[in-house]
Amino acid sequence: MDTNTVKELREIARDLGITGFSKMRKEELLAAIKKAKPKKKAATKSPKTKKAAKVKKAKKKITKGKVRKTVMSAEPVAKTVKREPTEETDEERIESAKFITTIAGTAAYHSQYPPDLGEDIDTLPPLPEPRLTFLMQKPGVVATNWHLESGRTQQDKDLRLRLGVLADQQFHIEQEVQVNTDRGSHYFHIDPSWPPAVIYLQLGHYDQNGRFVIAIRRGTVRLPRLFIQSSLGVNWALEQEEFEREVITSGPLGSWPQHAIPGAPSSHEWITSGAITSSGLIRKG
Amino acid sequence: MSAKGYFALVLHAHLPFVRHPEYERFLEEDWFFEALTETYLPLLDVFEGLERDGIHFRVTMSLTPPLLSMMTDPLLQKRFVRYLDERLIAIEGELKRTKDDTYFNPVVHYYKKHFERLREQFVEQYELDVTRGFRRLMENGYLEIITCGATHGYLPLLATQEESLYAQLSMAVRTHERILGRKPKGIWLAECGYTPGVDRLLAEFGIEFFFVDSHGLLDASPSPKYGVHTPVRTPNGPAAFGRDFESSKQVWSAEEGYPGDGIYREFYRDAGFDVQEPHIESILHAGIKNFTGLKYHRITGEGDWKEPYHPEWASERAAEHAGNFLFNRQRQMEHLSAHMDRPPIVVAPYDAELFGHWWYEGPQWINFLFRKMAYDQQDVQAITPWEYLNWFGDVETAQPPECSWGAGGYHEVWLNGSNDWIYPYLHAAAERISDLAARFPDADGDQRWALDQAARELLLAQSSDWAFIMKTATSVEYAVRRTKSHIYRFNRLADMAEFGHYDHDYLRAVTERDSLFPDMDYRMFRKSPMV
Repeated sequence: MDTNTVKELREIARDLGITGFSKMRKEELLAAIKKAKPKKKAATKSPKTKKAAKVKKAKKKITKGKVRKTVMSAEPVAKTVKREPTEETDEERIESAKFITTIAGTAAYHSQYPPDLGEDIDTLPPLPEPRLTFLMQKPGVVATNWHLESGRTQQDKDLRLRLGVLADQQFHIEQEVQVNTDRGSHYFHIDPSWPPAVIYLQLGHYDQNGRFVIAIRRGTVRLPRLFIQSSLGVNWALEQEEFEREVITSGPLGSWPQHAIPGAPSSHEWITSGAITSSGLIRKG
Repeated sequence: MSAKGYFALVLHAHLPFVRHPEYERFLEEDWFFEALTETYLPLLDVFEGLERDGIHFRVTMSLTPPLLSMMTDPLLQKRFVRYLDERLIAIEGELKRTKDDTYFNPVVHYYKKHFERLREQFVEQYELDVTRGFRRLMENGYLEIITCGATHGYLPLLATQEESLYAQLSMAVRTHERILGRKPKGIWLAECGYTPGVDRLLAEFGIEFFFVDSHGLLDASPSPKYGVHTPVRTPNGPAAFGRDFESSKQVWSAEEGYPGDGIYREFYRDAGFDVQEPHIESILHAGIKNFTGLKYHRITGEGDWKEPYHPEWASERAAEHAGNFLFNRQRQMEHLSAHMDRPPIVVAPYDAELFGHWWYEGPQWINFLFRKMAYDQQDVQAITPWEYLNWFGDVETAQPPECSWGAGGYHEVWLNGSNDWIYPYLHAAAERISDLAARFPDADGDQRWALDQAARELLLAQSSDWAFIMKTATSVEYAVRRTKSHIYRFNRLADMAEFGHYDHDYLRAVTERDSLFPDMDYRMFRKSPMV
């Protein structure tokens, strides 16, 4: 920068939006540019000029006749608002870059769409009948979602969602939560070692005799049977010497005993943390 | 076949179906235009250059049905030409603005050449349809193009109704064949979302292989002998290939990954935010500052201060990084092959849009990687999973567990407090269309029209992208609106088909908007394959 002429420095200062640059000496220009650079962007604001009209005209020429303007609106009304940044993995951050329209972490683009086709989209119709959804989110966590008739929880103020386990032909209630809203969700944390076939979910209320009366019989239940607990501690996190010995001498790793390690990190956690490489070895250093 | 091991680059190219004929301009359509500008066209350029120079290369690429539908859609094709032309005009303004700016003028000149080349490629070479380029490379054996669920439906959370899985797969195979001229041999399960039993359905559709994340093979039962370095045969036949995390991390990782190098182009700095001039404002949407694709800075460092971008310097660094990546694969192959009775395969899957859109120099990195692989060594050879299966197909049988490549390895990205409200609606709609398909197996006329459109609406609602966006909070309002509008439309259309009161204006309007899958057949929502 020191090698630039005063004229060049004034050009830079002008582009950076520095005021009073024409009267500054070289030292002053250098200091002002240095000060302004980290804050200013690549350009300055300028009033609309003939150039703008020219661009607008050219743009009109491009679009003319290519779209049927009569059936189209110009564009949804929009504004940018501050949004809270979310915790993301590297992959999520990169994948979500596909859907970024404004700078991530600072603002979100909120569009307001005019009513269209007579569709009242924001008021979704109620489901044909009350519904209880029961899905496995990950090993040890069950996601439940209830969707009741409107006003149901006003009528029945003691609705409960309970999770139980069938063991020795007895139904044991493990967890119970109160249901205060007609639609909602709850995530139960369960023992990952419970076989899915013995887990039950009920939504209902207690009658005067203390018996539980089931309110919803309609539901979506899916508990995959093949969430396999981590066996990495046994099978994969090997030192090189051990890896070589076992691979060379023992035949298929599949013949090794499968020991689940309760509470141990999952294989996904092992790998993503870099504790092991996918070549099956302890990472060195 | 003298290589010590094989390298399979897998690029998953996908965007949800975003097409809004009801608006003259629509911000979210830029997702597709940006991907064309920065990823799909540059990748085609790289692949064609490799072909022209006689370089051995193989890439497995999923082109999802919504993406294929957008690539072949005349309205979006015209709008993309408009997108390019508007940028070329804006670039002229930028050239004038920066004419005395020795820092930034060279990079503006670079964009002028680049956008002129993109326009020539898109308009003259591919005649507006980039699938022509991908198809030719597939027919010449360089690309293995595979499919994905019809709308990128996340199968583990749709599996409550097997009919949804059949519909996702039926429409996927049908679209792939309609546009690319052959049935897919492989599939990219959306988000690598696998659940036991999906392999049975894949076998019914003649699909031979798919991919799982590393733990999908490491936790398989029984544990595969060679981990992720050979595929396994699932109980119903299709082979599962496991992701090699070592090679993935070199590209994905924020700390260690190549794309974070300071010499590469900065993603977040863009003339759309930096420049306040009429010629730039004229390409913004509704006065909102947004990305224009004209990015003049390099990453530089962690602070706010960013230096100008130099494409040539970045290109040199991409070549260095390709060399580093290849060196690491050589060492990996040396180690693995010493312990295996067959050459290992290293499967490196990435979102295609990582290359170019996120990591601007990514396509060049791929270019250098294959050139170095062909000329500088013999340890590693590029391969497709299908070729590997043909050469070393006697693989072990194992059952992968339920898994995905999302954060945590299971379903929490697509099932959490931000998006779990969608599933009761999706499941109820799937039940209803399955019921209607059973009750009206031979619908015709208006009823057929309404049922086919209802099936389209449900498939669109099932796109995993909406749940993903709700979770990652990028364009949440749009994702919520899309989900709700497809559910709303589904119900209204299903009511018409069920009760016989047809609103033809509405039917026409909705069919014009949600127009993908011209060969839709609502009976895909049954428990049998229909292709």
